[in-house]
Amino acid sequence: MNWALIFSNGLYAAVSANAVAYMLIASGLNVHFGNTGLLNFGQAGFAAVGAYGIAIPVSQYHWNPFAAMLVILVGAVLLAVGVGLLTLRLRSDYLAIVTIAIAEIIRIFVNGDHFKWLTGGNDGLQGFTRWMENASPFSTNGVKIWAQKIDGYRLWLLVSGWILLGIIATALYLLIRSPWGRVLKGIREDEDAVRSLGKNVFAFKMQSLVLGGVVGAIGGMWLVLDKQSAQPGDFATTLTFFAYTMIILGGVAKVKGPIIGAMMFLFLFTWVDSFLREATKTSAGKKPVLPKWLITDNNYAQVKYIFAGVVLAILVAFRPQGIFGDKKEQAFDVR
Amino acid sequence: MSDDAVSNDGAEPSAHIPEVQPIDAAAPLSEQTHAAEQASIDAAEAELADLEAIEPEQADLESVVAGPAAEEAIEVEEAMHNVQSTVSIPRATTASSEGVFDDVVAEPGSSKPDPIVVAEGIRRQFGGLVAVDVDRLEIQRNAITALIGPNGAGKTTFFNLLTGFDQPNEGSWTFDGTPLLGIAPHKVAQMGMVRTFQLTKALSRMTVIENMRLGANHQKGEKLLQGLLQFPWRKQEDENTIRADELLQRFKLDHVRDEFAGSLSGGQRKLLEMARSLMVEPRMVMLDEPMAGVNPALKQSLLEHIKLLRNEGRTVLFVEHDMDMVMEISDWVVVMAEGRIIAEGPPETLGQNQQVIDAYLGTHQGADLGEEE
Repeated sequence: MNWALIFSNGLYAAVSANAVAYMLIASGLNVHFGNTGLLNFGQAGFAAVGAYGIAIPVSQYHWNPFAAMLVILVGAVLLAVGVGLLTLRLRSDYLAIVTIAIAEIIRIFVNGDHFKWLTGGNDGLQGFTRWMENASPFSTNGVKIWAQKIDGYRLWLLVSGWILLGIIATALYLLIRSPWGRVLKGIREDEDAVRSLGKNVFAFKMQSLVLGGVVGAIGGMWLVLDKQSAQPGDFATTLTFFAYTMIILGGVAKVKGPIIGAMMFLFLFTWVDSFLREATKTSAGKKPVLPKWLITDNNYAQVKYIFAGVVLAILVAFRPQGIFGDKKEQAFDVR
Repeated sequence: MSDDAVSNDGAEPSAHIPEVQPIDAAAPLSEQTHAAEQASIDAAEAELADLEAIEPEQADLESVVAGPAAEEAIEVEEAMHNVQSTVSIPRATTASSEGVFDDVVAEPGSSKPDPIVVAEGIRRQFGGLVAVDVDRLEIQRNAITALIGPNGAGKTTFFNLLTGFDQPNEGSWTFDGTPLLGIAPHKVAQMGMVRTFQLTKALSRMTVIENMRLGANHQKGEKLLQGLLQFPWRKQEDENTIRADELLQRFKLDHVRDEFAGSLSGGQRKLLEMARSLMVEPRMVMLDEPMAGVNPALKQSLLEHIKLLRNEGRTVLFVEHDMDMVMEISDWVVVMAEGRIIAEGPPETLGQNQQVIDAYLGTHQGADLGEEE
């Protein structure tokens, strides 16, 4: 058993560029769910807009990546406004249903054969990261920290990703503590009460949806920059539910909640994955650590979900407010 | 009857309330609340003893007037007792509305000298049910108007219509001369017509002070981009906080300033909701059952707060089932039944109004009530 590798894999997964992408996606969702009480089950759709917003223009049409980022911004805003116009006058459960449907529509659209010339279909899109690779100040050989090898491009994405995340998280923190954020919290508690105090609830919800959606789309972009490939399968509803898990783990309605939550989630997930891979390895006549009748090296990938799920369930059951959630803020849910 | 004792032992009836805090302003707060609670317990016990004495009769009445009407029947009955006894008890405050209603005819739809709300032909249907059908109603400025009526009379629906939370099928109404038909509820609130809710809507997972700050109108920091920066709204926020703290002190909520609103008692939430609505600086305050679920001691202080609203120059319209309260503080009473306004008048006269009695007691009104009297 290579324990150093197991732990360094887990730790790296918690801070990598991939983790930063998840943190951004979850942070955006936290604005919707944690701060405004909007049950958005379609965050994967916003992430997909970010992913394909960079992949399609750069890969298919060789656009300037910064122009593509403008496409992402406009796309995310339009999606949020569209979803908002459809659902914000309805009760929150309808928002959940409509958002999950819209996210699936987007995924099925990019997955479909009919628009393969545009979206790459099932094969996805590649070759849209050259500009980012060129911008990297690190040597392509990368570094080795403990047992973990990190290539130069990933290291560059990691560093720039954390800077980006720092800026976005600070902005969110300031916004949530401003009177604007206070109105969102009020809407989360009781929108009629907020309405009776002279606030345009619809406009505030819309702003929340747009802000969280744009942040989610940036997260989606980072996700595919890290993978260097945009695949429809990455934007299934699982992504949304992972983001929810991260928020709940870290603490709902806190800006650091989704960041810490994503770190814990990804550490755990990757640790279990690495552990099972090592424990089922058959090498040079030696028996694997775990018996073959229980688990083998070609089925552990599914088992990691079970393990991770059980551990997450225990965490949530014994610390429902998450690591940084305010127990009081969670306790008085009178609805 | 014991109700008189309850409603009058909290505060001395006086024509004016000079201080912001009417009850024992000097005493420390915790002590004061404790004393008040004790007083209320005593009063409640006395009342209970009294009730037991007349139990047989009431049980009788309840069995005749089955269903929800029973409770109200008793209330009316008690209220009518009150009407008789109020003659000897000086009414607390008619300070700012003294004489205003002298020339007003006590009939549905009568015109007032200076109405702030004029409603005409308001009709709201839910399927086949006509919930509200008000031909005409004027609400006098700077007075306390009570809206009473049995359950299902359409009082809350009428409230929702006036404040824009619901839209009528037909009708029109003006607030201070501005037509309000089709105006969104938040705009109605910004114009100065602010409501509270029957089921208190304290924002549970926000602190009391944050609840209050939220109420302030025209906040610069509520704009997304200005909120991000700090300097555009810091000063305004400080001013709002000062105002909020003053109101919390007035409503005796300053000791729970930093608690979550969800941890407050039912009565405190009512106070908070009222205080919060004042942060909007309304010209007219609409209270939907401000006394529901409030203990007798707190009721007295709530009454004082409502009177103070009028003495500050605001208009108050409230829905209430508690007849003691209606009799004690309202300058004018509007009675609704089955969506219509069936009577209007000064509180003292309503006990004699046959239509009101009919509305409350329905066809079951009869021998029992007669015997009681």
